Amino acid sequence: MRRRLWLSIAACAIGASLLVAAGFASPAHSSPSSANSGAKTGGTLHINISASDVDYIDPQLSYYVPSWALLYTTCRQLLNYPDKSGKAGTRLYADGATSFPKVSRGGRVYTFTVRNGMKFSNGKPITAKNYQFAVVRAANPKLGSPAVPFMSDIVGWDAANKNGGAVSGVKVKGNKITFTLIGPHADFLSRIAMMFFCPMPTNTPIVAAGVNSFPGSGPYYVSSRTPSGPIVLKRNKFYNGSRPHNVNEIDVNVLTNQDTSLLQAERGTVDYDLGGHPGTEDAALSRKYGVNKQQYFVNPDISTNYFGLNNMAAPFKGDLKARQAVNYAMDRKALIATQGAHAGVATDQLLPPSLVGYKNVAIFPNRPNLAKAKALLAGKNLHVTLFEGGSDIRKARAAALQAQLGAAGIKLDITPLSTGVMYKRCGTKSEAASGSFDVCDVGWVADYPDPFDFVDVLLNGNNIHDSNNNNYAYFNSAKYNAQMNAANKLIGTKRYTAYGNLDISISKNAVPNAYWINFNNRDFIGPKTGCWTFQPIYASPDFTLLCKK
Amino acid sequence: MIRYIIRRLLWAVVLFVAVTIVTYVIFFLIPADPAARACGQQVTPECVARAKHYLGLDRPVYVQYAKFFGRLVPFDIHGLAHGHEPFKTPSLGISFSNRQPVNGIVVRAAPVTASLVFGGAITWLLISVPIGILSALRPRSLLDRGAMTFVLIGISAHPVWLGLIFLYLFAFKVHVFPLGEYCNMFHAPAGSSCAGPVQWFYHLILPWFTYSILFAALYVRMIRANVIETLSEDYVRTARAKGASESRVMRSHVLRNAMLPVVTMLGMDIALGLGGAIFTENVYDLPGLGRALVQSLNNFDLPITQGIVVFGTVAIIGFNLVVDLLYAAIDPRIRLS
Repeated sequence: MRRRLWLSIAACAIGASLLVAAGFASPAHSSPSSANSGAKTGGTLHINISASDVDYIDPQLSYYVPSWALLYTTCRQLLNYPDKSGKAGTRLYADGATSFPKVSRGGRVYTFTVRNGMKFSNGKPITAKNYQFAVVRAANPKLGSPAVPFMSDIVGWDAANKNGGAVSGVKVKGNKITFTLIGPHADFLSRIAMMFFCPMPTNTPIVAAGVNSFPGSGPYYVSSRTPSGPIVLKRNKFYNGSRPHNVNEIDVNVLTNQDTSLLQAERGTVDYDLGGHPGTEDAALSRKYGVNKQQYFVNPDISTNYFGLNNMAAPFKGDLKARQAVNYAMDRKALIATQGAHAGVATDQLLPPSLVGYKNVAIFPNRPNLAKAKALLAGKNLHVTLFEGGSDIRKARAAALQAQLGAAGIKLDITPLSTGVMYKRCGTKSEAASGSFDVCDVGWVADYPDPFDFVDVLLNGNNIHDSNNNNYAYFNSAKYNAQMNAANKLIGTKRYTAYGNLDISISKNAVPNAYWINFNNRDFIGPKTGCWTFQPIYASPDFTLLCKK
Repeated sequence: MIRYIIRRLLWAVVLFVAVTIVTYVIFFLIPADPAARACGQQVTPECVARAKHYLGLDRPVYVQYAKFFGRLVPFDIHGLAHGHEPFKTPSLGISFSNRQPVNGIVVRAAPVTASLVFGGAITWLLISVPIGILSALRPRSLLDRGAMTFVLIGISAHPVWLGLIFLYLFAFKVHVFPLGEYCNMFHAPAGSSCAGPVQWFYHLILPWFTYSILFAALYVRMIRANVIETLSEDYVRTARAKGASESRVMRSHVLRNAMLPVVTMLGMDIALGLGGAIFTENVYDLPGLGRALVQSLNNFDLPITQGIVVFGTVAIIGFNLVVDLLYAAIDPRIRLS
């Protein structure tokens, strides 16, 4: 009896201590956010990035969506994208420069005039030299920046990338900065607006690890970042531009759990998750909150996902009908249904609708036409292998595709791989040549809003290397390569028309791939979060605009 | 005793080398390319070559392993030859994905995992010892059957599922506990005001319960069986016949013997707890080693994976050694020879 009494007392004591602790403590974010309810400015945004960290927060090193979405608030490039949604958000405007550049010598020399009176968040002036330094820093081999492939057409870039030092094609005189290109490339303005060319103080170290904080030139600056830990952005008090800056601080937590993060957002302790929410929740969220009303938003991404058909080996090599048969056998709408509610829209061409130059043409049906597919196959038994990329949604669409092609008499074997391994193997030329795969489940997100970034990067045969290819179809047509090269020399409407026509012509007559979806961004914000605007270039909400209610 | 410890330490070095070699080999068997990842979406062969050189991936595997091992050793032979300090700080290398020192990543994450694992171990002992003993004292009673139901659920339920259910019920629906997040015991990190022992404890209550339920269930079953078995031993009957009080019989004769296997298991389970911590850390957003490990595997980031493996291996070897020594101390029949 004494024994049981002793144990009961111990259990009670433990329970009581837990309750006392719970009573003293409180959730970490509850008090500051409630203090700002109803306010349009001020307060702190709490952002999660589920399942990943930013790659870097150094503008010359970072490359992926979450880091650029954050850096967009901190950078004042020469040309920038407006804080607007839809097509308006994709039109460049002069931000650090006073106007668009003067272009001379056959489209090879671009001269920008840098605005006077701009300051970094540390109070030091921003001059043309800071823009020049961003280019020099990005080119320097010590940094190892992913910016390198984007600017190899600047005179002296390759030499600077080899030996370090100045880029001879970038000169500064007073408040003017001049870029001299090897040849005319009309997408230069889009490229110079990339985050890599965010102005930086000229004493910023050029080291492989980059920097984890730096003086900002935009409405905010990166106050601190701990790798695999928190990132803190604060208001730049010296910013004198026209961009909004509603909250005082943006606190970012990385590597959070998507399910937990969604609960936090629903409860309002977190404002938004840059890592997304579970795809299985979209139907429930859209039912509960409506679409594009208060908390749940659906916006088109500038991306296309497709099944790359290996044009380098049988059965797709030199067999247009086999590639067409796959396109006719696919049920694009059913494939999209496997990706959750509001996943995206069906497509049969490479350029996404949200990109300039896109022209909508019906090439293949959204629902399968099995009779046509079988007729194209003419009794041939196709047996193909799909490299599939591991995640649950990829598995779901691979299984759906297997059933769809099976109905047309095409046997599809699925090789499950992790996403990284799939891209590695699909991008290796020898794997394609040996026919170890016939189909790859791949996609492409715009680096910058120009059709070159899709048509040329993904289909120009001159870009095929031994490894790390983006041309997963290994499509290499001398005729189309020449047309792509010609299109890249055009500017303005002619350029976009040429790329739009190329997209249609290749998708219809050469059929290198089986395009199926332009994905949507599906976002959810907390009940205390307002002022939602989707910035299409950065595929994320505009954090300069987001506010606390 | 000293000979025993030296022998164990030598075995520990062999084990350590074997584990790190296996990790290296597995990494190089995966046809992933961290160098290409470092170059972003538009990869060029030049960029990959440069990234490989920077990351040291252009050297043969054995050279890479030797360099890794050389960084770990705290002696600087090269420095000594040049008249410098003979000691250096062991380094776990530089991350492939964010080029940050792995030492810092492990040092920041280890206290979080330690908080979870040690707190979890205390929690599972607090749950399992009383329930196991009471079940053994009243076999087939309502309490015993209830305890066995708990065991069944505890062993079957995955920590991720349990964690999400706990969060939904106790944090989202009933606002008793915080919804994820970790608070440091001493100082708040940038961008957070959450710190201090009370907040630390409060934010870890649900993770501790989630983490410990599986172990608690296993321990309940083991303690119950041990106590039942010990209760039927001759020396227990003798003690009672000699007139020893029931509490003395339990304390000195039953529990002391029944708890010996618990000590052995506890040492091993705390060391192995890193594996279980992966799930709990991920559900509750705890920035510990488990979460860092998952992230490094997703990024094919060998230095971080290897750094955590090194840390885990040292922890397991260390705990096993402590358990062996402790075992000899509490059981006089065992001698370290």
